[in-house]
Amino acid sequence: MLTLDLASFPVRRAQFGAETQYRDGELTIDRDAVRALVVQDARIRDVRLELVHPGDSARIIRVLDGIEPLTKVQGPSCTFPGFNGPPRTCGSGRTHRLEGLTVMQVTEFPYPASGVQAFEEGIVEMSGPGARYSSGSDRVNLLLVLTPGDASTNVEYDDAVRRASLRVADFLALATRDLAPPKVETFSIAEQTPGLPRVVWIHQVRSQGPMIQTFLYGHEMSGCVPTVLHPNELLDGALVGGNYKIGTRTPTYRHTWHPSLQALYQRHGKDINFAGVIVARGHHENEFLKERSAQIAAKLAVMLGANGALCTYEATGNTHIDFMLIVQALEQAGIATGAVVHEYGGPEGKDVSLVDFVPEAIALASSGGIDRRVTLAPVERLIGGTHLAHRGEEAQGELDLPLQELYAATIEMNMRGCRAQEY
Amino acid sequence: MRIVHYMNQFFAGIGGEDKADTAPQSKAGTVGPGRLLQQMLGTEAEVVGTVICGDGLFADRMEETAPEVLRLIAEWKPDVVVAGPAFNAGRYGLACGRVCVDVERKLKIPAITGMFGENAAVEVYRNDVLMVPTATSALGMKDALTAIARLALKLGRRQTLGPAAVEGYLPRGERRNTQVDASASARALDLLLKRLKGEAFETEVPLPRYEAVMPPAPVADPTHVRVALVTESGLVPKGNPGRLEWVRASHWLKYDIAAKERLEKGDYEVIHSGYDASFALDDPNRLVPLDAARELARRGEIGSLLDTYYVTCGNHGILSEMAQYSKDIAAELKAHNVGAVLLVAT
Repeated sequence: MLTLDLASFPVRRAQFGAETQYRDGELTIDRDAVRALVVQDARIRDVRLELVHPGDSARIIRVLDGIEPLTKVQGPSCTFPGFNGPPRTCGSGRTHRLEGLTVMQVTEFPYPASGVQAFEEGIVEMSGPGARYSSGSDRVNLLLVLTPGDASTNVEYDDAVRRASLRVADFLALATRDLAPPKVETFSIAEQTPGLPRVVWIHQVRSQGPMIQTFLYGHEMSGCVPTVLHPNELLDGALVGGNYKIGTRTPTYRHTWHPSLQALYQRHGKDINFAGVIVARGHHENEFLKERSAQIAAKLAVMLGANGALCTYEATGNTHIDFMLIVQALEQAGIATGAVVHEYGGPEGKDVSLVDFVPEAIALASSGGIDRRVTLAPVERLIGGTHLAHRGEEAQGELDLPLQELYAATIEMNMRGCRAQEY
Repeated sequence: MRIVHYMNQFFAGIGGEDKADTAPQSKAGTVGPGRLLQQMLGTEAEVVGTVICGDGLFADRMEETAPEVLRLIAEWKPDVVVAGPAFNAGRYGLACGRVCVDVERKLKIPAITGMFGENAAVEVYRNDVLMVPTATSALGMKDALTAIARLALKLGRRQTLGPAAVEGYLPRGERRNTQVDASASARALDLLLKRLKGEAFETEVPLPRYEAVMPPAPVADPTHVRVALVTESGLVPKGNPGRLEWVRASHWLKYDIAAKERLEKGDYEVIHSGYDASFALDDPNRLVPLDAARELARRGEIGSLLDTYYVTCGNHGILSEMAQYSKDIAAELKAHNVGAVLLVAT
């Protein structure tokens, strides 16, 4: 079984300088070195680097994925395997991470797209009333503001952006390679305590196609049936996010540091035995595929000897139906569930809160209503464009928006303890 | 803090059903259970007046009686109005609900009442009135007034009330975002552990109740029926002239198709962002099947086709708003003698 030492180097400030180095929470970044790593791929013409810090009067638009820098300093495989190395099993040895730093992609796509392949804005708001719901607002973000190069399609360009960002993430984390970490945590589920219930985590991710996908060991998951991962594989970046749907996306830095994984590891050996992670794809096209996926997920949980399942999911609508079917299949297989849902209900929370449910979903935790509204104050710095995609509104001034248009709002609301309650 | 207490003839000690026609009247200070209310309120608030009305009169002649009761209440210049509690008394419950609504809307003063959860007035007023749950009868008076007094003082101090479950009032059909300590994942795990231990647990998200939509019976004779094309697919003329939104559509639109045999590629776009629309851009008739409908009309398999198609965008639609758009569209279709709709969902 896998054992991972995760050494965390917290980043509180970052600045540009002659040499990339980490010292006491301060990261200095060599702009030219990062730039060279990005533009070595001709599909990217240029990159401008910017830094934003928590509390800045700054708003970032046209954000794609965000990555917390990780690098493997000892042990087999690498971090972000399938991208930064061969798709070999990760999750053991020693990994260094720049905790609280994000390599954030900011770009427009080279070609027009419509329908589900159109880009949807997810706004990173660094201060003011929106910051509470915006992921990234409590992090130091290195923005790669990119210009497309010789990519022949949006999918090609997206691939170039992802690979470049993961190269940069590895490069930055390497600055800590020979340093003594302020904090090392050891993650293992090898020791199982007799008498405690076995609990699996159902991690349903969205993979629908280009612009809305998740990568497992370097390959997108739309053809996948549910599969089993060791939680340490997630900590090492076995899953990479490529879902750019408004606020209901999970950026890579949340796949590598997910509130469900944290909750389960905290309770492991005390209240539960953490039995593993079942990664399922959400957003199947039809009832047949939905049922097939739910049945396989539940069967894997049975085979792992699970008594219970913590269930969380990414995105909404269609994928919510997949999620409910998994909850149902688990309950019918005799595995108790506790599941997280984000809610709808309209701007005042007076409408129906769930788009679908099964009668077996009797233990739901709320991560809040995502169509309640918030008014963002004007900002001094706007990065990524001048107008909001889709809405077309001028982006620097006051904006009145539903929470779900803030970056990765659903996962962040889960993490920060947002909960809808009856009034 | 000035409190006015509203009650019926029975609790005011005037009489039972035989006195249910008691006219609205006003008395200084407390009456009947008002003394207990005063005790619960302590020194911070004073029950300055009591307004009384017979339940029968209030129910039978509400439109005349309610304004008179409101006038009497207003004369005392209250900071907070307490009505009842009404327990399981149906007419009294309705009177308390109406008094509270009028006080809040017309006098702009906070009001509170209490009643048994199954009282018919709860369904009528729960979304508009602050109510504490009570026992079925006056045996539960002390508990009811304790809860009412505590909340009345908060209202009088203009304090914001917390969630229903925390403050002890009946939910008013509104779910607000709050901040708690643990992540939702950690709380879901807590719920799971309680279940695994066989302990009592309470879901944070009660399952909604949907209005079931039953499929209608097949059209008996389509050959004489006028058919309309309706869709939530977000297919709109190029340039989206009606500014239909890509999520949470705020309206619906209709577009003329009278002179068209089919929808031509390039003339239309899809603003819905929840599905892969490339097939529809290639052939818009796959969302609004004008080509097939014209063919059916030519062959006489349908009577005729309406000259407009109706469209909204279902992506992240707010259920109550979508229901309203459907009603509006249906009303127009009816006015145009449409007997069947081809509804293309995505």
